[in-house]
Amino acid sequence: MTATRKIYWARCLPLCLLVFGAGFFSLLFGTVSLPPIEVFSSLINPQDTPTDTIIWEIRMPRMILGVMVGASLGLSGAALQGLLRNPLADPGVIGVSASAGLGAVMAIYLGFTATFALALPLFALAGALISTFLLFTLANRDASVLTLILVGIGISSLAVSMTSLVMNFAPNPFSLQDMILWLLGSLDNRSYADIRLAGPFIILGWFLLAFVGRGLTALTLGEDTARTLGIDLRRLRLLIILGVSLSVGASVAVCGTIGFVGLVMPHMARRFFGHDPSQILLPSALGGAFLLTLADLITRLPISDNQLRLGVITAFIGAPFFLYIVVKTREAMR
Amino acid sequence: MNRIDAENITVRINGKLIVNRACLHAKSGEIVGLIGPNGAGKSTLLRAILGLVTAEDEKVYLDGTSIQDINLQDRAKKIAYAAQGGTIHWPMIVERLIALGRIPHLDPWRTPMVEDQAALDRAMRLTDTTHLKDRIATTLSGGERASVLLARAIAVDAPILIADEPVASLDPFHQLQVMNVLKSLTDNGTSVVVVLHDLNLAVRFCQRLYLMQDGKTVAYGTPEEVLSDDMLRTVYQVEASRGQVNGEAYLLPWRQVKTHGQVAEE
Repeated sequence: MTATRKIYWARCLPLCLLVFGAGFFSLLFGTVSLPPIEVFSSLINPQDTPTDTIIWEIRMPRMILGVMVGASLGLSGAALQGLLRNPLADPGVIGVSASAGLGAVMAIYLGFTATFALALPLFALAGALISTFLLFTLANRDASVLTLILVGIGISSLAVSMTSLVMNFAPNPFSLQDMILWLLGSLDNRSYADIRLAGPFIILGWFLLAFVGRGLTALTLGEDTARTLGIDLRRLRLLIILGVSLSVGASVAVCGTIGFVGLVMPHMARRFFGHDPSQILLPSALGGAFLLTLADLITRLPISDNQLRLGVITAFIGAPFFLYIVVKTREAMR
Repeated sequence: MNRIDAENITVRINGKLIVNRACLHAKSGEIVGLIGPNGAGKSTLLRAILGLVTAEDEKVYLDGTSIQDINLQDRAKKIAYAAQGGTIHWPMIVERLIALGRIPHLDPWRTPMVEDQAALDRAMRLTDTTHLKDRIATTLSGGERASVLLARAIAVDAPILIADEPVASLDPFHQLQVMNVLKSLTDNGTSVVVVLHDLNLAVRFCQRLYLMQDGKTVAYGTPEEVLSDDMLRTVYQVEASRGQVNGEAYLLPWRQVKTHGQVAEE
């Protein structure tokens, strides 16, 4: 058993290194090209040169946010797939991403973004929290997993249709474009203000999700058996839904809706860490952080005049990879 | 003492009376069989005892202590439950799956220790599943799967084991194997409560039986007392052939009986 734990940490280490590596590369590349040596010296010994400003004020917050958002999406996907015992679950199924998106689009529609920079993330956060409240009100305390999924999908569809409605009534093409671009996700021009806003929610969400591993493992045997193993399912559901809502809601609030990370990462983690749901939480989070940092790097490549959006890249990397994993593991999942 | 006493259990689901003032008692070292026709309320009674459904006026006692006064984790240490047809949702390695039975004994964050490994080995040895320990649980055959899930329940090492139809859909060899495992557990003082449809296994392996019909406990006592010709006729609507092998009684349901009462009701 202790050997299993050693293997677990030995496999997490390369993932950590990947995240660090991607993070460093993320500091290296941007509109201004900086030699790696300069980046190094700026990291170790920052002064007030323009390079330091670029590294510390522009690229660093963007990188930190990317890691936090990616980790939130991966972790949430793993926790939800474990709770719902459904490998197709992602943070979208409880409606929190769509509702945060609705909040953001509302903020753009009402024109608050022009007067107050943080209006958009605040509206998005409010959307996420309202949808979580709705989910808990509509699915009662002892709701089955199926009820939770169905209510979540209902809320999600409602938020998506309302988002379409708001876009339909967009006052002008520019505001419509803002909405669409925002929904595709981006980490451009994010600052420490965004981190200060989203960070506390994200970290509180992680904290709640840190306590769900054992319950998820027990759920492998079904809800009845998990309860006879001493797992308080009501508490487990509460922790997961709140944890996901906080971390994903805050993530969407600062960088838009980003698909596929939450869906794909748990599958990738299972390939290397097995199917025990508690064992794939951390690897999914690390993998998500890596994937999002990588995707953000790709958005900075000068491929076309229209800048690539983050959500598009993650879907492009994620979807084929997802298909590959599914085809590889279809025997075991039967 | 390993006693479990449930009295006057009443469960309504959506207003329908499923279990009506039923009772069940089991003590150390005995296999208690819970029998009755389909829909009699056996599983619901067990679920009420385990706290999985809410019973009205719940009176369940563990060694004389009301179950409401025992917290979830302590309850989990005392009563192990092998669910009917148990599910395995993820393709986990068999040994890790069986190790889930140790969950009630672990403090948060603690890793399984030597004593846990001993409990696992014992559970696998009893159920003859040691050779399966590196297999993937979802690829097992029906019989292997049932044995592994029983091993998972045994790994809890609880003084009371409740098994809901552990022999359903098993071949005769595995049926006898499961019953013998339950018997060897009682030799070590465990109390076993088992739901059975096979009356012959009930007669052979259970020290006492509780017979349920329409949510009520209609008879309890030794197998000879409970499974009288009269009871078989009124509750199961069958007649049985009886006999003995080496002093052990057997009972073979033989023919359906159409009671006049039933015809009149229709």
